[in-house]
Amino acid sequence: MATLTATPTPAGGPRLLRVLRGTLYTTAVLFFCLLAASPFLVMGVVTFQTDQDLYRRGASPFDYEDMPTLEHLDNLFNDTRYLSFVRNSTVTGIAVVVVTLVLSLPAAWALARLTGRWGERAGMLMFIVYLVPPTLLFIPLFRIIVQLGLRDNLLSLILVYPSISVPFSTWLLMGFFKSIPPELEEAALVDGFTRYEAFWRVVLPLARPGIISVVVFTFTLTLHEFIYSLVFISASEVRTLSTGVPTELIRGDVFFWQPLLASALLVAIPVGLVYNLFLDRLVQGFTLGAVKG
Amino acid sequence: MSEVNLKGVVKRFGDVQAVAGVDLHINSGEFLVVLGPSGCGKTTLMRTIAGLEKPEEGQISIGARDVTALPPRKRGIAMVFQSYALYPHMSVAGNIGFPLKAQGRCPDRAEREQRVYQAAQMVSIEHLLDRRPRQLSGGERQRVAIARAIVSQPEVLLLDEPLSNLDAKLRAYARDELKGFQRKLGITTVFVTHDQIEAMGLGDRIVVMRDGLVQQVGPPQAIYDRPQNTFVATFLGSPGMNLQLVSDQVQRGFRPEHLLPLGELPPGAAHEPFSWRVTRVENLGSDRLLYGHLADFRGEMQLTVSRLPSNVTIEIPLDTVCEFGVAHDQLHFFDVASGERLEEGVAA
Ligand SMILES: Nc1ncnc2c1ncn2[C@@H]1O[C@H](COP(=O)(O)OP(=O)(O)OP(=O)(O)O)[C@@H](O)[C@H]1O
Ligand SMILES: [Mg+2]
Repeated sequence: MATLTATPTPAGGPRLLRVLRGTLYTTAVLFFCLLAASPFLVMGVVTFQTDQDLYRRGASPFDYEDMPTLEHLDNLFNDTRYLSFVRNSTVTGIAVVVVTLVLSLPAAWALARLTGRWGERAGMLMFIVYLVPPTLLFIPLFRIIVQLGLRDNLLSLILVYPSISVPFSTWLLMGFFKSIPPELEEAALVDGFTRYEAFWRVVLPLARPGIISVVVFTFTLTLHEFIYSLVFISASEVRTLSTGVPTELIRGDVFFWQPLLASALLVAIPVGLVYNLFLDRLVQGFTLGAVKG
Repeated sequence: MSEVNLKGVVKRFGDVQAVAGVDLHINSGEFLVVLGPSGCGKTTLMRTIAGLEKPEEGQISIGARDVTALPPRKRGIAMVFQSYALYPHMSVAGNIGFPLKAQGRCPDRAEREQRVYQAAQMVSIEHLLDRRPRQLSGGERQRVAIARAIVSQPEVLLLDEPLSNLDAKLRAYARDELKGFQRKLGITTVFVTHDQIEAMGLGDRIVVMRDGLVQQVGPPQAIYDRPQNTFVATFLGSPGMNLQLVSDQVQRGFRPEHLLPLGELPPGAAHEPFSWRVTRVENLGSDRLLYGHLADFRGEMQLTVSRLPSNVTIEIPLDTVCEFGVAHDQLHFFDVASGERLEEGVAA
């Protein structure tokens, strides 16, 4: 682009140049959008293909020789437990988000305001907990879940997922709370409010980008988490999306591609939309947490 | 409107005594200025009155109530923070009206709006009510903070260096306005500053602090004319008082504006003569500052300053011995060891 603008042009050139540059820019943007969207496009296209079309040798995924069919969607919704997976995942997700917020908001606030050595150390400790991978924890946690009698119960996931989401969220929110001057809270105290009210009315609204980040992070975590979900839950009707879809739609080495891709796409669309809605806030959330944490 | 009483208030941070035993009586409706160098504990004293810091020792009462153990919201105070601490997520109207939303102070929405408007009018920002704090200039923010402080009609108003973020010109206006609404409202006001011009200009009385201790309390002119110790004497005035040892026990002080050429002294007044060499002259427009050295009783030279008003046009030759003098009633005497003021009779 820089070389383009530097090239001397004949009369009428600048305008041409501008148009050219605009076109180039648009083309580049479109290209990258397409690149990013292509997996989803393929998913969408394949969903409606018949098996003959899909498995024809040498054909691209976009070739339709037979009429598009709704057979696979019908199959996904009526012959598998897909809807119950979606419901289980949603219930788990919402419950885990609530538990995470209830635990990490006060924890993060306390850690942010404990400016002494202990506050810093406790903050570090929280983060170290986050770094312990589930692959190390799932066996001992499984025994606990069995003893609690929570096998094949969504409660097991609601209980265990916060062990990942709470440390991370606390860490992220701590950065936010630290960036809010204590004077604002004190001003609210002087203005006639209790500490609790000051937190609700002044601190929380200012930490909103952080809270949105926590909600999105926690919800997507419960959507894609695999190990705990696989280990704690074996009854098909209690399964969540992340384990239910691969166990029901892959039999041995047979992949039911069309319903498989459709199921992923149907979950990806709403999540993508929500992400886009809060994109600015999210970026702000993660970078602030990163710098100030 | 209420009086405020502090008795033996001590506030420590670890080993630091930020407030080291302060007794203070603030009259109802008074404008009291707390003045002192940076780090002397002014902010801490104010935060202790507000209830944001718990004193380790001592007692605070507002009106007839002992408030030592009460949280800020039950003390009937309002505060303007040095940084203003405006709520960034609320409009100006939201900020000003916020104290009215506390515990049913003013449950009626229409009345709340009217009071917000009145408070805004008081500081002439009624045209800014819909803005956000980040869209305001420093001076406008300061007014919003003041409006927020007065809207709930507090008994006591606490101001922590509210003018320090303003430029010099705006500061003079703001000082005048501030004093204006304080008079109008008659609120007992405590104003913290390290700027002595602000203190002299605003205060009904001034409290001079140093290292967490009150050095002197009194009307501005009285403190200036009769400083209680050498700290107050040198801290007030720009430049501060000249000090000169006259014996092992006693030092004497005189303000730069009182060290004058003999011809400029009030005619007939008894005076103390000083011969000195002026080594440097600073012309400040309204005044001239003369710098030189005077010998103390041991013969050691001490930096001394004289301040000549602009109507004294006499030529001062550099590095030449000149005859100056200080009228006797402008001399102050202090104990060398303690720095405390000695009554004139003792020294003579
Ligand atoms: N939260 C705190 N923790 C520890 N020490 C503190 C704290 N607040 C104040 N101090 C100390 O107490 C002393 C008095 O501080 P303070 O803020 O009251 O001074 P100040 O007179 O307001 O100064 P300035 O004019 O700079 O605002 C200082 O030595 C300061 O370091
Ligand atoms: Mg201060």
